[in-house]
Amino acid sequence: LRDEALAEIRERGAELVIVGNGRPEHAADFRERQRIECPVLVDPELRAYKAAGLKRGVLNTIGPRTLRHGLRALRSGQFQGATQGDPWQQGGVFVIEPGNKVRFAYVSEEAGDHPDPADVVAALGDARGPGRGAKRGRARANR
Amino acid sequence: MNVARALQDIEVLDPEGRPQRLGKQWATRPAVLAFIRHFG
Repeated sequence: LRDEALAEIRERGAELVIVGNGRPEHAADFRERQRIECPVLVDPELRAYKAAGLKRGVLNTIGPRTLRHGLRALRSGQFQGATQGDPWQQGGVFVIEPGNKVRFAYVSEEAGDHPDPADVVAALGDARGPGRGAKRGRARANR
Repeated sequence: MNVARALQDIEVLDPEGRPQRLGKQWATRPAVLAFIRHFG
């Protein structure tokens, strides 16, 4: 569940940061519609996308329709399980710690290609040490 | 090249249009940086 994973991210002292392509008002609108409190940032010139090595083709082939599926799933509380339209369906996910330590990196190859949220959460657990012992149980409980 | 290092100095915009360094997001706590494909 979405709330569960977000809670687990925050439990580990981390924050979910969403980066999208578009204009600031898109981000504002997105936050409002999703009632998401985490930071939502825009990268209008795709500089961050490119620096992250995300597939340009992916950005071009995915349209608003696919995202609406995602938003619907997000709203209905589906976090994983749906192959299409969960909030992790995106260009890529990175877990980065202070000091530029990259704990997890996932670059989507195509639509519907996304990391398992449990793996993302586990990367935080690993990074933080104290979470390590809880990692297995959590990952399993998350399925 | 470390992707975090490549990203840290890139300026993005917050919903109010204010520029901010992306690296600020993981300066003091870990960040799960999720690039979405489109805002819809």
